[in-house]
Formats: sequence, structure tokens, C-alpha cells
Amino acid sequence: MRPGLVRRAALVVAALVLPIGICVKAEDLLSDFKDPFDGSPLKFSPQPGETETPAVKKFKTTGVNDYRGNADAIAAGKALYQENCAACHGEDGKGRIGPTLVGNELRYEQAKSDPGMFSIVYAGASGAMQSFARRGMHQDDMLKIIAYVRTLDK
Amino acid sequence: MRRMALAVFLTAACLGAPVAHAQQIPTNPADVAQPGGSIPGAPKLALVKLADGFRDPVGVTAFNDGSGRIAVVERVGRVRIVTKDGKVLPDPFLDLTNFNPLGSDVQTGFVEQGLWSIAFHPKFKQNGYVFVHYASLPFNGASIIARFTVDPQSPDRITKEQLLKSVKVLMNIPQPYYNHYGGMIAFGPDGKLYIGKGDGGWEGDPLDAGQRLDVLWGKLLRIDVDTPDDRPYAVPSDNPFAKADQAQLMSLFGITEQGFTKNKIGSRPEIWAYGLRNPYMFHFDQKSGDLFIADVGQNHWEEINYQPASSHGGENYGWKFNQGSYCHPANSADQKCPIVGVLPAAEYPHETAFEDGTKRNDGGCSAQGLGVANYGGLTKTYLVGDWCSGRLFGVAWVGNKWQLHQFLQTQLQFTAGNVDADGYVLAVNCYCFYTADKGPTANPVGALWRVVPADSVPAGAEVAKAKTN
Repeated sequence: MRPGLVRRAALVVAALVLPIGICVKAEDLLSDFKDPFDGSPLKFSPQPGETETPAVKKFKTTGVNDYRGNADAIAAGKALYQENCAACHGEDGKGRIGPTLVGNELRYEQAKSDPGMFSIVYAGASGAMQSFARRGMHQDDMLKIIAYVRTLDK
Repeated sequence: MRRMALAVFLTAACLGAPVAHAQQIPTNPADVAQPGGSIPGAPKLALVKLADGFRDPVGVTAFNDGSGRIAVVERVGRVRIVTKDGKVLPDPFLDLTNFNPLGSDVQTGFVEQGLWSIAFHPKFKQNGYVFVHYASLPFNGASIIARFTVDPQSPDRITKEQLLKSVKVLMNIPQPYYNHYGGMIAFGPDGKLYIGKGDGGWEGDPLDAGQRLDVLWGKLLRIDVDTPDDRPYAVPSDNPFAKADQAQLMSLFGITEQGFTKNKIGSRPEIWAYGLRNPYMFHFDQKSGDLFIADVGQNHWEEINYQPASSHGGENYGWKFNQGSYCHPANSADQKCPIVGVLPAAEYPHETAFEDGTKRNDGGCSAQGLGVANYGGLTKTYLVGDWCSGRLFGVAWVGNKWQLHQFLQTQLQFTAGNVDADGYVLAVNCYCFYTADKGPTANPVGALWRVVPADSVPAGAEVAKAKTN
């Protein structure tokens, strides 16, 4: 079960059987584009030299991550995850220095949706979970990482 | 003559009136403070930005010479001056990256390597002596402790020529692995130089460095720097192991068992305290002379040690037998093991508090001591920032026990701190981490902050984003 589907009680039943794009209203997902530290809305600006891919454009307007289930994107996301995330969150995503990224007990409730997790990766949270945008990561790569992280949630 | 005068001064300092200490070192793990404690009357705190734009700032020290200048240490090997009015001078005060024609003198390949700390001699205003601690590139990452002399004609800049002319290398401590260097150096109220030295690295202290007295790793060291220029340093005669290794006749009888324990054959006389893992930051309370050591922990627990000014040294803080008041390896909360040496005053957990997977969300991953606060209603409160969680904790003795109080949580990755000339605690933050490290001059820049009561934030000041829950 995808954790992104279980956060709203009214949608739990539908979530068990339907893909995310159908069962969760776009505006619901879009509300998770927020700063995990204080809940303030986030704006996402491409970095110099960064172009918004079609996947990123769609994600910003619908909250739907087209890389979910895309084998090539997930493979790329895995490589990026191992380079940037695994040291703290573990190869299995279950948390080490940093919190778990799988299961229902997530540090930030918003991480259960892709826009919420994207916001944390983009803007950072606290301390060592710094903004990966500030570190130079492109938004398209963040989507791929999230697509891979969701595969760890078994 | 200068030396004699200084010796008299230092002796007087050492023999100063004893200070009454209500604080007790915990003897029972249950008395070690953990998150969730509280300091009654503690003010709300805020971090006010003093200056920005530093490359991997990992250390900070006030000049304390009446100038109001603050020295910010950049990991790459430079020290920047922040003036009293918050201006960052364009030229570095000290630059270890370009005096050697073959390249930088500083090893920065791993994020724990670099220049960590600068300390000003207690008589800096008279003698111009500054001391640094860094990982040496030519010596394959060894810890170098060196002294330079500021030219009074150039108080804001030690030129390359002056650096080479004045350098005196005090110590060269080989480093077996590329982590756990420790870093901070600071003069104590006794005028001696204290050096936080990590266990030499890897994990699990494979060399047993913390407990071994024949190596300098895993220790707090204490040396006398006031020696002739042809003598790097001296061992203070009151160091706990100053005479433990001296040649002597053997006596087998008429000696108590306690007496035999004083033979520490092979021990290094520079050792002040041992059983430490990575004491990156430690600070003296400028009022009482008491000492706090933030010993960075391994996978599960961070510990903050307290040592009263009346200490004669020789404390064993337990690494690698213990992490905080727990065992190593720390399998579970109810695991039983002997407590070796001295318990910390406070401890806090990582995300994963034990090997059994216990999750906690009230700690961090790396305790960076910032300084002892005696203001805003706080008394002898050791401020500690965490590198991973951005939390700002205070450790204080309240009534009859230690408390670990969370003031706030920031987004900052704290690296270091110190107390400024007015007694306020300073902090620096970096964007340097194990992963996605772009190198000491390419990571996003960090800033210098002053910790003040929230109701004393100057108008118009930039304050670090923070939450209190």
C-alpha cells in the first residue's frame, strides 16, 4: 500500500484499490507543497541551467509523480538515493541517522504524499536535512528519488 | 623574564579562591539528564544573525582583546574577521591554504577534516600569539597544533610572510583514519591550552584509543604553551599522568594496591581526561571555571560531560564501554553493562536510540557545544546545538539534579560555538555534511549567530527561523 494514500481517512477505502491520481483530489495533494518546518507555502524556482521537465511541470500542477512505476526513472532514483540519502535514511529507507521514509510513522505527515516529500527534499527540514535545491539538485531528480523511495515501502 | 612573570600570574590563577559547586556528577544512570527536562525560568531564546557568507564555518572564537572582533574558522583553512559592527573583512586574518608553494597545508578531503579551531593566548593583547588546530595535508591528515604571532602593524591580517616567519609547531599527532579528529582548542582559566582530540576514527574505536593511556586519541589534552621557542610545549606538573610514566625503582612490598594503580607505564603525560570519542567542542564557564565537554556519540547517544573547576583531571568518560549512560554496543534500553568511569551530566538520543530499532524524536546525531550562558535568567547553562536536528539544548543544574532543556529547534546545522567578549554565546552553522559534500569552498555558505533572549532581539535583526515544539 502506498503511504500517500492513507493520510486522509475519508479516502482510505478508495486508496486501497485505486491509483493515486484518481482517488486524491489534486488540490489535496497540492496543499502538501509546504515547508515542513512551519507549514508555510513553498515556491519552487529552477536553478540556473535547470529546465522544468514535463514530469516536473505536471507534478507542480497536479501533484502526480509520473515517475512512479517507471522502471528507468526508478533506477535513476535509486542511484541518486544511494548517493544522497542512504547514509542517513538507510539503504532500506527505514532510517538510521535520519528518520524512516517508509511505513506509517513518518516524521512529517506530509511526507506521505509525493508533494509533501518533494517539499522536504527541495526546501529542507532541520539540521542535516538541508535543502537539496540549495545543494544544487534538480527537481526532476527529486521526483525520481521519491519514485524510488516509494518502492521501498513494501 | 616574560616567562617568569607569566608563571607567577598562572600560579596565582591556579590558586585562586575555590568556588563552591553545588553540581554533582551523576553516579546513577537515572540521574543523567535526558530530553524532556526543564530549566525553571528559562527565557525564550533567539539566534540573531551577525554575519553571513562563510565557507563551511566550523569554529568561532572571540578575540577578547577589547576590539570586539570575532574570528570565524573556515574549514578550508582560513580565519575570517567579523568586526564589532558585523562587517566581514575581505582579507582573511589567517590563511593556511597558500603559504606553502606546493599547495594548501590543510587536508579537507573528508568533511571532518580541515581547520577546526583558533585560540588566542590569554595575553594575546601583549604577545600576539594565536594557536590553530588543523588536519595537515603534507602530514597525511595528522593533527597539527601551531602558533603564529600577529604583527602589531597588521592586526587584522597575518600575512604569508609573517606566518612563515612566526610559526611554531607545537604538536603533530598522526591520525590513523580520516574521522574523529576532535578539533577545538581553548585556554582554560588556568592559562593552559586544552585540546579536544577524537579517538582517531573509523567506528567502534578499533584501536581502543579512548581507554588507552599511551595514545593521545580519545582524550582531552592539557599542555603548557609558555615555553622557550625551541621547546614546543611543556607538560604541566599537575596533569594527572604527568609523572605516571617516570622512571623509578621497583618496589613490590609495602605498597598498597591503590599505590600500584598509580603506575601507568607508557601513559602520555599530556592527557587531562580520557574515554572520549570525539570531543569536538568543550567550553569553560568563564565565571566558575567549570568545564563542559560535548562528546559526539556513535550511532545512538550524545553525551555532555561536566567537570568542576576543582577537578584534578584523570576522569574516564567511558568510551568505548559506554555511550552516555548506556552500553556499547547499545542494544536496548534495558541492557545491563558496567558503567566505566564517570557518567555524563546529560545525554540525548539519535533517531534510532538502540540497536533494537527504538525510535526517538527528541534528540539529534551530533552534539556541538556552543558555550556556557550566564545571562537572560540563565546560570551556568551549557548551550548545545545539534548538527542533525537543529535543536538548541541547555544543560543546567537545577535544585538537586541536571536538566536537559530544549530551547527551540532551528533549521540550522550547528557546527561550533563560543562565548563572545560580552559573555553571549555565539554559534556557527554550515551546509557541510557527509553526503552531497561539494568541498570546503563550494558548499552553500554558513553564518555566524548570537544567542540572545528573545525579548532582547535588536530591532531589524535577522533571526533564525525556529519553533519551540
